[in-house]
Amino acid sequence: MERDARGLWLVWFLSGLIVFMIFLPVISAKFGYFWLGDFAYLAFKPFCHQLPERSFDLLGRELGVCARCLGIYLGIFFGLSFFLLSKRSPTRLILFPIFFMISDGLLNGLGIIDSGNIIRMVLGLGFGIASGWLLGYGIIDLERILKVEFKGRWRIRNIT
Amino acid sequence: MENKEHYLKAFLIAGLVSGLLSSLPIISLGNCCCLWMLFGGALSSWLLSRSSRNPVRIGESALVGLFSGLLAGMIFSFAETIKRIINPEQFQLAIETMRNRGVSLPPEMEDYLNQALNLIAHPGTVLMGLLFFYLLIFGIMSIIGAVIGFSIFEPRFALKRKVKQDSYGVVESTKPQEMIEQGQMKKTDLYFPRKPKEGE
Repeated sequence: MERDARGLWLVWFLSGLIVFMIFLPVISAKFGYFWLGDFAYLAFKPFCHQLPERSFDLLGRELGVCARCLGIYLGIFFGLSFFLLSKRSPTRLILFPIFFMISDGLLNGLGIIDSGNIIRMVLGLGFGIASGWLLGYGIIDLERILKVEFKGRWRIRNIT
Repeated sequence: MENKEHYLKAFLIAGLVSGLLSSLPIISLGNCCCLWMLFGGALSSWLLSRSSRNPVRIGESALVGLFSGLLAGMIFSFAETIKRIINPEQFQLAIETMRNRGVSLPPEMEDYLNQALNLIAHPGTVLMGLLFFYLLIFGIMSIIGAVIGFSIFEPRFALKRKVKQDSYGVVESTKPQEMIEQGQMKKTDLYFPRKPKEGE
């Protein structure tokens, strides 16, 4: 399978941008640009509860998302990176970490268990890596489909 | 792109459902850890696999998931903008906090900095930046939902398709139309294949 697809690199870059946004409050606070960190908090607000007790803090400032979301986004980035580096295709075993995280999320949501931040992050990381791997596979195939579909259609004609 | 005719229906339904669930006041709390986005992607993949008569590729699922995510992202951004217009206090507070947290630079730089901050912290600029960010998150998460959905649903539907082909013979392009005319199957079966009952 060809791994040097441009679309895959683009998605990898965009997922890296999201990870950067998560660490932006810490990085910006280090250089004194606190308002940039506030922008990151505002951006992630609809997608994460951002509860202080469920988030990691670094250098006295909380990250943009909670522990589980941090694991998910980091995992997607790592999963895509592994996919770019390795030559192995995903198997259906890759769905196990996804089920683990969903069941942990449900049990926590129902108040049956209370797993700590580290466990939440590790399960999120597993979910993210599995998802990133599958995502890479999907993007590669999507790019192949689009290449076949639009072959030569977007080429600029030489009218001279 | 063998199943091109089923893309539109799959991504429209999934995008609308995902966008609405993400925008409604209390239900949107489920979007924590991107639940509704993943659900929307998985729904689009399920609809595509269910409707298609040919094998579905993972890339096709990813494409439908991407479009459904972008649609849901647009609906969500629109709803967020409306929410900000109706209830601007919280948003204004966040922007004021951003403005007041200006960096301490030499006095000669203060004016330039304030101008830049006013431009960046303007509600319109913030909303534009957030729109890009929302579309990005919705797009990526919906593709992930779609590829996960593909891994779960497609093998099952592939099996059903094979069973159907074994019982009806090789389905040619004109065959379903003839079967509808002869009353052997309903028109809706083209889009939502049902399991043949015993005796059919």
